[in-house]
Formats: sequence, structure tokens, C-alpha cells
Amino acid sequence: MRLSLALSLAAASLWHRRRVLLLVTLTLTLSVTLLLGVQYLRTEVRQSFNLSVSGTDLIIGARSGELNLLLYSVFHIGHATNNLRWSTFQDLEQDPRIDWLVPLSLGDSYQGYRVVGTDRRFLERYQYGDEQPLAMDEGKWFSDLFDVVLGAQVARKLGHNIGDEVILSHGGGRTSFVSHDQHPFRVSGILAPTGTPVDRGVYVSLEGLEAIHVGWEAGVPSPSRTLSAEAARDRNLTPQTITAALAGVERQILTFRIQRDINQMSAEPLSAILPGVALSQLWQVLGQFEFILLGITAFVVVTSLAGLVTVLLTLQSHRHQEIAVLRANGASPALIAGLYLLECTGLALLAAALASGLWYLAVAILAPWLLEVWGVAIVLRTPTLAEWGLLAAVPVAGLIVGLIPALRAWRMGSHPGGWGPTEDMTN
Amino acid sequence: MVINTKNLSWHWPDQGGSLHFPDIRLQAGDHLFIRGPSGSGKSTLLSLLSGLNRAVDGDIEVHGQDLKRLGGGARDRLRADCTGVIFQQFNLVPYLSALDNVTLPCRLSATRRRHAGQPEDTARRLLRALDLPDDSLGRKPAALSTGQQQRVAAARALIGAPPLILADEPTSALDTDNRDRFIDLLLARAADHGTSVVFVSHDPGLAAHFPHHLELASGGEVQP
Repeated sequence: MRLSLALSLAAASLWHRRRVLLLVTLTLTLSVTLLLGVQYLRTEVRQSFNLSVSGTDLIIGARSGELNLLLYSVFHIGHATNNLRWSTFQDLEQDPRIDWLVPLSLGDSYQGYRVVGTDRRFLERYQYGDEQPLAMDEGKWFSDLFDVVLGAQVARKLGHNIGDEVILSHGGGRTSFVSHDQHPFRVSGILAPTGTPVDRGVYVSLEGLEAIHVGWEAGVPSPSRTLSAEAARDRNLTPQTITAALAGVERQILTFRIQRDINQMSAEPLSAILPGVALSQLWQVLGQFEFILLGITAFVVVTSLAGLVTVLLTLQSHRHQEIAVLRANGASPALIAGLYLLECTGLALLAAALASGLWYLAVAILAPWLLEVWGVAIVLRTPTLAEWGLLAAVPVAGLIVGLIPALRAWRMGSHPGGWGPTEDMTN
Repeated sequence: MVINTKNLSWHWPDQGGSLHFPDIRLQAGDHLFIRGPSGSGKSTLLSLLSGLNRAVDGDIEVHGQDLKRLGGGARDRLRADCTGVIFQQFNLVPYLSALDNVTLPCRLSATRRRHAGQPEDTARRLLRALDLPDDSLGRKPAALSTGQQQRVAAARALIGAPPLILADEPTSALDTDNRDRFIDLLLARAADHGTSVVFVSHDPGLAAHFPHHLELASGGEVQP
């Protein structure tokens, strides 16, 4: 009975002061939205980063560090220290424990985007996120020697459509001085956006890459030895080397065994890495900033709560009368303190509820646009435990800061000589 | 016996001055008029009788309970159950409607609620009996005149038929006509359930309404 009375009084009191409290609640709502948003994005970005590649059990490349191999094979950052012989790749294909392999050949670029030489298995086997496969947005996967498939971001940024002609540059970097202008490629398809580095890749066949590099052994074309596009079609264009390979293992339990076997392979020095492990290592390096961001946001919330208490304390100075009346009618000082606690907690709870609504509305509206335009994949999902925790922390913080006006009210209520709305007892 | 005090006195915790009050013996259903100039300790006496303050010296028995031996919580409960209070002004909770202000004691005390029957109906009946227009029952105090506010406060003190009502100059903000009318209405409704009224004022003109009178000396008996 006491609690329901305190609740209904608190609700009536808040409603009575709604005009003043609206602004401060709005401030708190926005800051909680910010806090929730940062935490949500943090989870999403980490999730999307850690799942840049999924379903792949091993990444195999020339002997190098774990992060280096991950960076160049998945993120197209940096360079391979060495190549992987095609014969070795074929040997691995014979290994019955390995379910599937995807060859990757890197080196060239197009307008700053990496060219990835591969084959149809890339489209079929590469997975990201929650084991989502790649999909074509427009057109088809490459079938001709000089077909090229563009990642979503490449196509959007450069405004390419199916059928456009594309001239690849030799080597990496945005400003390459040597281009493969003798062998223009034709856009045969565009991949659907994924929010992963796949969006920033340019995909051609291994044979196509081989064809444009015939006669380039010295790093620059020697005019007498390069092939015309027509002549290339008649040649055997099986590559000598590739850069890396993605592998799927049929029985997961064998993954470590296969990894060790590859690392100790006598044919050539190779490294095999577990992408999940390498990704989380990389995130530990990159992920520091997000923590700082969360900390800053928490301060914003604390500031808003301080604002809330300031407003409540200011309002309280006009509430002597109300406290005196409640006391005279038999309300205990505890009930009056409880009233203030409930008001503060109620406002914080309201702000937390409004903030979640606001955030989920924003995600629902903006997610498709973010993926389309910015290549950032944000999924509408139920809050994680950490996010529930944050949301729950807001009313708890409200309860704690509410102790300040509540204690003051309790003192005002139990102050000896508290008779009537006027402080002076003798009149 | 609603009130029985003997050698009651009070002094402020942080000051030297103290007040001594004449002995009071008030039978159930009787009304008492206490007159005294400013500074005579009228409000202090009421705060002691209501249990908001604890007496320092002397005996004080209200509703048959020794208030000096009751803790703060017990005095609050006793007040909620057995005492109605009317202040000089600002009697109402600003965010509750007139009707909700009247039913407030029934929500703070199960006893008052039981006596009131249906609190809302009883409140309406009381407000009507106190000549408050029907359309003002849902209004907030800010939308009521001072006279109306005081009548709402009277209805709140009366609801649930407490044995005692303490009224601290409730008519000082009213004009003469309203003042006499207010007292007549209050006493008439109090008589319905045998409620005693202790009415404090500096205005000797009101004494005629009450059978028993008590005079507080100017400045009490302040001793340095």
C-alpha cells in the first residue's frame, strides 16, 4: 500500500512538473541513446570484424607471421613475403582431410583496390558473418579470361556497371605508373554488399592474371614477349604460383593437426593460420579505441544525471510546503524520501526506455542505408547482456543520485520543529 | 479524554529560550479555542499535540497514548490514524486534485479509510457539505481560491472521522464572512462524528464559536 501510494504520488508529481522535467529527461535520453549506440556499434563492429571471414578453417600462405598473412589475404593490407607454388596447392587439394580450397593471387590493383585472382570457388566457399555466402548483386561471376567481378564498394565508388571496361594497374597502390592497358577487362558482375573487405576487392580469374603478366618477368613489360589478348587465349595459362589459399576442413577436430602438418611441410616453408584466432588478436590491437569511446560516453551520461539531480534539487527548494502537508497527514520521512527516489529513478527509467526505442528505430531505419552507402553492416538484434546491463545501470544510477534529494527530503521531513509550511515555528 | 497535558514545556535545541504551556484536558467531542499573540508558541503547541515534535518536559497524552514514549514512526502512524490537521495556508499537495487531496489521509491510514467507507464518495459528500462547487473537485489547488483551498483542507481533516482536528489559524487568509462560515461548517461536520477541534488563532473575535477557551501568554513564559 505504501509503495503504491508513493508510486502514484511520484507519478502525479512528475506529471505536474512535466514542462520543466521534459528538457532534462530529453538530455538524459539522448545521452543514454549515445551510450547504448556506442556499445551496440562496438559489439557490431567487433562482430562484423571478427566475422570478416567465417566458415574458413585455415588460411595458408608462405611462411610469415600470423597477422601478416591475415592482413594481406583477407584485408588486402600489406604484401606477401613470398608465394605459394601451384604444385603445392595441387598437393593440398589431394589431401583427403581438406574439404575445399580457394586459391588467392594478389599483387595488382585497380584504382587503389586490390585485384584478387581466384576462381569460382571463391564465390561458392567464401563466407562471412553468420556463415553467410557471397551473392551476386548484378551480372554473373567471371567466365571469360578477361572478365572481372567488382566488390560492392568498388562498383559504387567508381560508378561501374556491367559491361564497363576496366584497366588494371601493375602492383599495388593508388598511383601505379605501369598499367595493363593492352588487356582491358570487362565487368561481368558486381557482388552484393557484405560490410567486409570483400566489398573492396576486384576479382579476376587466375588465368586472366597470368595472361596479362606474360612477358613481365622483369617487373615491366618487354614488348617482344607480351601476348596480345587473342594470343593469350590459346596459351596454357596455369599459374606457377599463387599468394595464399583459404581452406575448409571436413572434420573440425583435425584442423590443428592439418595446421601443424602444413607448418612443417618439407616441400616449401608455409604457414597455416586459424582466421578466428588471428582476427581476435588483431582486434585486441585495434579495439583499444572503442573502450576509450565507451568511457567518454559514460561521462556524458554522468553529466546528464548530474543535470537531472540539479533540476530535482532546484525543484525541491519549492517543495517545503508539500513535504509539510504530507507529514502532517501522517506520511513518514521514509515515504517522502522514497517519493524523491522514485521520481529520480522513474525519470532515469523513462530515459532508458526512450533511448532504447530511439536507438532501435534509428537502426531499423538506417541499417540498409549504412550497408549500401558506407559498407557498414549493422544488424537489428536483441540487446546483448552488456547492453541490457548498460540500460539497467541507468535507472540504478538514477536511484543512486536520487539519494541526494531523498536524503535532503528525509531531513526536511524529520527536522524537529517541522510544523506547517512556514519554517518559523513561533507565529 | 482526547488530550491531557501536564506541565508541558518546550525549548529549542540550539537556543536558550523555552516555552511553558498551561495544562489542557479535552474530552472527546469538545472543542477548544486557543488564543495567543504571535510568539506565544501556538504552533509549537500544535506540533507537540500532533506528534510532529517531541515534548521536552512534562506529560502529554493524546488519544490515550503517551506521546513522549512513542517513537517517530509510531507518532506518525497515530497522527495518520487519529488526527486531522489544517494549516494557515498552503494546505494542499499541489499536484493532486481537490478530490485526491481530500482522500489522501485514507491512503495513508487504513483506519481513516475504513471509517470513510468509500473514500471518494465520502470526499464528494464532505466537499459538497462544505459548499465547494462540483466542477472544482477535479481542479488542482492552483486553480482554487484561498477560501476553497481552506475548505478542501477542512474536508481532508474531517475525512475518516478522526477523533481530533488541529487547526492552526485556518481562517487568517479569509474575509470575515467566509471566516465565520468556515468555522460553522467545520464545527457542524465535526459534530457529525464527535470529532474534537482544537482551533488556534490570534483573533479573539472567533472565540464565541467555541465552548472552551485557553489563553497563551505573550511570549509564553520565556526564560533565558
